[in-house]
Amino acid sequence: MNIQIEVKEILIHFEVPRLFIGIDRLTTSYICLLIEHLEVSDRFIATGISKERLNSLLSGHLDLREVFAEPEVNTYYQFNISDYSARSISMRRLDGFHFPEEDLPDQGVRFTDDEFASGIQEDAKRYSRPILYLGVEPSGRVGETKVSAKRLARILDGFQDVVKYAYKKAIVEKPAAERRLINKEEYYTWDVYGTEAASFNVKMQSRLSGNLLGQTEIVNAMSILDEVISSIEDFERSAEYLVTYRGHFVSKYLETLRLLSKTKDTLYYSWIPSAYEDVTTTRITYRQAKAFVDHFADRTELGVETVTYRGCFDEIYVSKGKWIFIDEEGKEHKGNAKSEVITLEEITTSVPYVIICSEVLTDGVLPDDEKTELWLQEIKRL
Amino acid sequence: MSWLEQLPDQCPPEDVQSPNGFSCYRLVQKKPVEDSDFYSQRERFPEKTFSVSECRARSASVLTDLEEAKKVLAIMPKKEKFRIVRLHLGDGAGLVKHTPSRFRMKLRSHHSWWVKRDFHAHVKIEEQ
Repeated sequence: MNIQIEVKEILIHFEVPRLFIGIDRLTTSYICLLIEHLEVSDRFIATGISKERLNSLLSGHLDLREVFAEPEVNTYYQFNISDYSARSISMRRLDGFHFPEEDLPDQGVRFTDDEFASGIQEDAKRYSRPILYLGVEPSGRVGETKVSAKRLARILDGFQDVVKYAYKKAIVEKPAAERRLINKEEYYTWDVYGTEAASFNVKMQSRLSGNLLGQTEIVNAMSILDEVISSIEDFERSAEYLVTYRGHFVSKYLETLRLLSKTKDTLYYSWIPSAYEDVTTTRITYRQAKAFVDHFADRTELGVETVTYRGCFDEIYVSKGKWIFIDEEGKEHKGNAKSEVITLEEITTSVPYVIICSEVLTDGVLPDDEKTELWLQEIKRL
Repeated sequence: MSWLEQLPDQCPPEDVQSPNGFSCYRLVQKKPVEDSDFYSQRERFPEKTFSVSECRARSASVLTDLEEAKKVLAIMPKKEKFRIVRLHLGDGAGLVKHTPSRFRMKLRSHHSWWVKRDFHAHVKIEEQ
């Protein structure tokens, strides 16, 4: 089957047009890549692309390789051009075609949309704080123009949780007094202030206003997140990160990836620490998410947060397997104990102990209303 | 001047520069580099119709920014085995003109180089 297209926009021109968008009479867009220089013509391969995906590509959220390696519809077309002044091109559909590895663009070819980047920069300047544009690309169908509110909300919520616990990892080495001051919601929270037209991009700003340079502590959380996501396909390095950042961060990160692998959505975000720096763009495809979740499926222990307290037991309820502990700073901690893990009978109140507990997250009524449960794992009398 | 290729009238244009000490990157295929690596699109593909002027079609494309050269290399057909070499052009290598590509992926460092026949003596080539 042949389809006639016209060139809508040349994206990369080096000696000849090497990548361009073609459009047919039904206004379906095709992205066309030069894959071979022949004696009398150049050979191109094309595939259909939705407006949303094209937006992702042109805004730098989508890698060019992915457009051809993982097309929305597994249909490719071929044509040859010998006359670059021609207006119309006839494409032939290729049945059962698999894009050869050697013809695919290298990984890492991304467009930098100056307008998009300057939009983020302008917002960072206007609001004097870090700015984040986060979006999803619903997978599966060309021209998908809707995503369920619930799905988008869950992805946003999951992302915010990951940032929250990345932030907590970022400040873990700080002195306790300083950590107490900065371990607050406004330090790691992104607030939505708008959306971007013709996309599923949600615009967010750091809740905390920036310092003189417009930066806030959330930058440290985002740096950890960028670092971890950049290795999503390198399982060896990822394993190291998961050990380094084990606990709630890993648990929430895996939870978000699990969600993407199930919804088949792609998550992307661009953010800027301040108006004076560059925009960073990161993306997680559902295939990357699925491969990652499958690989680390049996490493659930990495999602367990371990906390240590020094102090004294105040109350022990042996039959109920519950306890109350007062730490050195006078803070009360209530927890549980499983008889197969630890017995409470031998514990004496008002005697100093070091206790090691696993901390489990439990959901509250409101999205930010997260609660934790402590489960006693080890005790050591001081 | 005598050129590596036959140029049309009034080519190179007037607003060209002599490339004394000009450093740039070129995508080449042969190892070691051969004259054909410096041929223009017109010389390599005489039967194709290009969308640039005949004078431009008779120039060799070079980029002064390595990152831009890498971006181009990343989309070149792999089986054609292109690679990047660095060139240091002396005065006798020909004439160059800044001809940036202003399409969506901007190649701001693109230059057109009209190559002289005896360019070898005036070009230092470094493998990358």
